[in-house]
Amino acid sequence: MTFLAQAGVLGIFVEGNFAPFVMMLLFTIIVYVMIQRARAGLKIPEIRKLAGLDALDEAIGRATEMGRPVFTFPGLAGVTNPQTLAYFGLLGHVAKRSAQYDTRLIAGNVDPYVYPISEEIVRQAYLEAGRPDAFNPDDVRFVAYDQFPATAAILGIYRRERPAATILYGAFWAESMILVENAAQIGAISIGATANTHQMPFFVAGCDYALIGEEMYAASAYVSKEPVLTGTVVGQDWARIGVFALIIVGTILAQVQTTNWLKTILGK
Amino acid sequence: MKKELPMVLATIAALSVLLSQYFFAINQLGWLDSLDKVYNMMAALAIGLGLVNLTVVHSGYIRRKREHWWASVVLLVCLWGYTVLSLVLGNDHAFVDWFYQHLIVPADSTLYGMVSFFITVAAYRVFRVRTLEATILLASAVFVLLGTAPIGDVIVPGWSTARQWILDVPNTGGMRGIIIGTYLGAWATALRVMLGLERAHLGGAG
Amino acid sequence: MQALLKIDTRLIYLLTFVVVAVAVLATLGLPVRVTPPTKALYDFVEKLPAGTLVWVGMDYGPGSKSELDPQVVAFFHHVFKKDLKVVIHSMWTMGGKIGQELVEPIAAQYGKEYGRDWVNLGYKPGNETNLRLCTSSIKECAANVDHLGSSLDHLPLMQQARALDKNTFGLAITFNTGTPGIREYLAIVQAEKQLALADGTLQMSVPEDIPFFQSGQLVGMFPGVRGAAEYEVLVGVKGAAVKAADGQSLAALYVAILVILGNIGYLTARRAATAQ
Repeated sequence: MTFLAQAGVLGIFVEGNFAPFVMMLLFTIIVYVMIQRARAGLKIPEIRKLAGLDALDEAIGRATEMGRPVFTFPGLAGVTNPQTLAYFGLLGHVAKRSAQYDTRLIAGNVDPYVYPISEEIVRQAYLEAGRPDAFNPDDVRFVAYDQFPATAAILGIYRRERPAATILYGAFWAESMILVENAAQIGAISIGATANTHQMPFFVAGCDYALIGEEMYAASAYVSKEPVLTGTVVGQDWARIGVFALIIVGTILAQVQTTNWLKTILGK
Repeated sequence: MKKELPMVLATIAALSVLLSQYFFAINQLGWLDSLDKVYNMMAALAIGLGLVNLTVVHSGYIRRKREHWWASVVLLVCLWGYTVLSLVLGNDHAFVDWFYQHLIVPADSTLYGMVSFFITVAAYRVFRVRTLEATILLASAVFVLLGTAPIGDVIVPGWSTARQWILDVPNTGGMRGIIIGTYLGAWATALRVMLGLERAHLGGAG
Repeated sequence: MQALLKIDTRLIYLLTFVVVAVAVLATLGLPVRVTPPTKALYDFVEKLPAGTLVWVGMDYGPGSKSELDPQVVAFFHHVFKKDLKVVIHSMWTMGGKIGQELVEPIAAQYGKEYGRDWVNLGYKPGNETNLRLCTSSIKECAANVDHLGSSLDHLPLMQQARALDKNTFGLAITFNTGTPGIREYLAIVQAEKQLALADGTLQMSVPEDIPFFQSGQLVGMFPGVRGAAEYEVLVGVKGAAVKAADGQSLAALYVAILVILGNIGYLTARRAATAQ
């Protein structure tokens, strides 16, 4: 570290951001290598079965049989939240399937940024499914810009339109339990996914199928079966192993040394 | 072009933020501030967009006399009434404040209060001693629940200390594992967006 | 016994209402033990010199008032007692208004003047990007107006409070329920700007936020309504939190009893099924 400091390397970085940059770079390289392997047609591991995503087609199929709509909702976060980006990947798939099965899809939105993107995704999906005429812009809805007004609006949709499947996929807070319980009361299949740790127990307890933590980020790779996208998920797992190794080394060093060089480096 | 241009713009914006975050010289160029200002302006405009969307959608419902169309009338009256009142009289005017105090606060609190009813029923339905894992989950949940409320210490002195240990040690360990995994997943998603692999947000089936 | 497995949902709802109503109407006054996250926050504020600027994020809506308002009230009693100066900001539409109605009476009680001792910037759209903009210029992130629409140029405190950073502020705290909230503050205010940060959150979010207190990223926390009750005890004010903690006690006991009853029913049913 003294060498790095003398060489002026640390002056290049914003204070405290040298180690995060190196970590980010390493992670990016791992993911990039996995993408290249996938592109070259080399074998990459498959993503394990995710019941929540496998159940999507079943849920849409059930709605088709019952002649009732499918409802999707990305939670309260905006476009800058990765959970919302993961939702976009899923929404395209759900919209395409709904168009193919001729099932009505209602997509609720809270964020004024997320709303037009959702509308465009659904419109494109109907177009790609060869059913542009079936797309109804009124079914992609901006419900409210606040937590509980939005919850009330969605409960209204549940009671009036009685969706047969509810897909809650994104960042949720206190409204999750209300939405999940009410979905159960109208007899809808519920699929819940969130990376918000405080809401995971509610989804696991209340939903028919739940995806937690990083599982939800694998949606676009999982449903598209695209090897390049799968490569990024594999890269993510390798990075996880790396972080785990770092934690083990750090824990050992903290026990045997009074000055922990690893801690010093990571603090740079 | 319809997809490529937004993709390129997204990548440029993402790289500007990323590099400003890490490199001192780039940080000093003030790109982050400029981008933030643009985003702030767009956010303010987006609220207007939401207002227009709600108006268009619900005017359509009223025109077509769709089922429950009267609810759309109520919504539009409230939406525009409150907006105009706030703009004309000001945010803190007693009349505007009356609506806030007597409509928004009770309605919002009522909905939040409903959570307690649903959680109670869910706890009763879900927590069963079906397996060993379920039993451990049940026991720790009830332990933390009672330890969180002052009554825990009344039943057994020192209960809250034991509950704090559960929060500090096993809970923190588990949470950190989930948080690390979640952030790696989030970064992989961001990377897919930056590399143009994830295009769903540009429209289409992803 | 197996009937315990099928208690009518409506009866559970009704009893939930009765239990909470009893707790609100009658005061149990159960003793509240102070836990480490609340004590750490209290000690941190206690050590701040008079005149230090404190940034308060009011990042919640009316729905969470019952749990977060008592935290805000207890905190402001302490802050004004210590002669600290406060800038309030909100990333939630109703947050600015909630802040105004909570702080005004406490400020009056301690003889604090608006504009000189405290300022409410009100709701500012843009979520985390607005917060980031505040770290370089408060005037810009607030569009140079406060909650009431007055120009910041006319408020003496804002001559001192130029940017949300560690050179200007001694502490930042966000009373929050979701996004935007503590995560945005951790990334921008704590990690980037290295400003001391505290968290006022819902009971439900405590397991998620406590690792950040453990790691030292948070100097202290209000762990739910209990945290507010603990702070009231520490500051020596009588507020709504101690009463709310009573409600929490009865509700927790009620849920525990329900879980036990459900399991007695479940085990009885299982035994009967095995015997058959």
